Amino acid sequence: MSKELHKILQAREERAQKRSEIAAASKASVSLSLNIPSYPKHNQLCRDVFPWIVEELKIHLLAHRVELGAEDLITDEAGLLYLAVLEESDDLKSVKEITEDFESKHAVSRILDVDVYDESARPVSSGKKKPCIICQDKAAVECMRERKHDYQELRANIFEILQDYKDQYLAMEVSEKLSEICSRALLYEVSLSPKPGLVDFYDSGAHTDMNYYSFLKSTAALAPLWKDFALAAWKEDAELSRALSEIRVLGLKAEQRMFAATRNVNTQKGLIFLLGISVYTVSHLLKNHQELNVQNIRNCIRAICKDLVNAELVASSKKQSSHGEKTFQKYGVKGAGARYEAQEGFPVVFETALPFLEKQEKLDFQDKEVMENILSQTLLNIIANTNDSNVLYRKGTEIAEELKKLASEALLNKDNYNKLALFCGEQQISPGGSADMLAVTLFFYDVKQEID
Amino acid sequence: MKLIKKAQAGSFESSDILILASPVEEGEGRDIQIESGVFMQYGETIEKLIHQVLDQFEVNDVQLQIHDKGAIEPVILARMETVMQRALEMQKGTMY
Repeated sequence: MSKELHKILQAREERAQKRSEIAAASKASVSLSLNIPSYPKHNQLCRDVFPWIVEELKIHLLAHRVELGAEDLITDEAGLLYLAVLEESDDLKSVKEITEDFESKHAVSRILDVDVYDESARPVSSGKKKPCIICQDKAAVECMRERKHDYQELRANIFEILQDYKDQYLAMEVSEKLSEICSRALLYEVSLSPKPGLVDFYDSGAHTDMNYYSFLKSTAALAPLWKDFALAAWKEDAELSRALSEIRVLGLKAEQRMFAATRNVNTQKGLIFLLGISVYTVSHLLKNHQELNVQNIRNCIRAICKDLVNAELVASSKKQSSHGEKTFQKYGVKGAGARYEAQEGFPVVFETALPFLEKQEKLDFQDKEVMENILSQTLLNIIANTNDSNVLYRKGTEIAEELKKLASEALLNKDNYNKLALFCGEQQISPGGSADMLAVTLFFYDVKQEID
Repeated sequence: MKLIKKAQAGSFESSDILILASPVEEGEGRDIQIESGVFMQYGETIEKLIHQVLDQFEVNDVQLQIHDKGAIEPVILARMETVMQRALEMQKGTMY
């Protein structure tokens, strides 16, 4: 007998011993394992995905009112095993059916073994045969017996299925998490009140065509779309050189949803572009196992937005369609707005706002006052350090510089805030570009806090 | 050889086999019961392997209860050898 086989057989007997101990307490049990032929019985991939499958099984059992008692996760020479005590054992046939339902619907269905053991540690069987992983119509046990397939071929097949499951699981997890962070950033930004010249909970600032509820509506309209930016980066053929056009396609769709929700008012158009790039970037780095540090993030944004100002603003400044384009024509790089910010890897966010925010007390939603104070200070910091192309476009250089000055004064002393607010009111200016950057800053702050 | 005690080897895990061996009176012969779930077509193969190991240990009188969960040949042989060693007390540290 080979050394490996000896170890596997010994581990299986130890498992049987564990099941007997449960049976000794007159309890039935349920277990989950991965069916990996030959040796070794588990590798890093198996160990990565196994806990997720265990969680899925537990949710499935809970949803079907199967109550679990003490549980155990075992890693041994026979593979990975999840073993749990069943609190009720009146109807084990039903429990077996519930586990078979789980098994058959799972993405890695044919690799899963969910077993139910009765109070005498004997398996509850339904007599069903699991199909072979290679020849679908034949039972797996028959092929194993006849050694129909080469073990290496079988293992390669199994690991491919597991890898697909892992990729999909991670893509879903990353995209959902990033969507959550996006929507939260937008809600925090618009809800921060008061804000100078901007739409907040109490006031619509310099705006007559939108209010707080316009922002709630467009935030809600955008909420289901952020995950698409993350999934785009996760696609097999995703390439950074093509990312921008992908982001544009998704961005235009999002824009349409926003306009439909706000009756054609531009509430968050710039943000769709900025956060779209941000989500794509974080997703790209995670997919490629790169560390989420400032340098990697900025390099990736720069790679996506390479030469954006030249390609778009210089080339199209003759047509002068958007505000950003007109402002660029008049003020050059200083007025290049969001495109310039993107091309440079969001300097305001990573060189000013984020370091400032991270120096403050940790953002805690349960402490409303502290949180609002920090968000407000961060916004002022951004206004004081940014060339808001929105303000430049409407008011010119002098007013834009005055705004920056008043913001830095308000940052130094809270008593000066009113002067800034009054100025924005009188001049009817709204530092929308800065508000966008606050949302982007909050996005990266949360990414750092919540994704490892 | 004569079995000294009851013994067990193996498990109900998939791809394994569980074998229970009990001593019987001398001259009663080999009483082998195989439960192989849905794969009775392998009953003969399993039985042949079982006899092979019994011959090897020169055991003529024994009762064997076997539950097969799709074990391959080397597993069947290994479990059978272990259960014999345990029943004949040829091995220390038996689990059952």
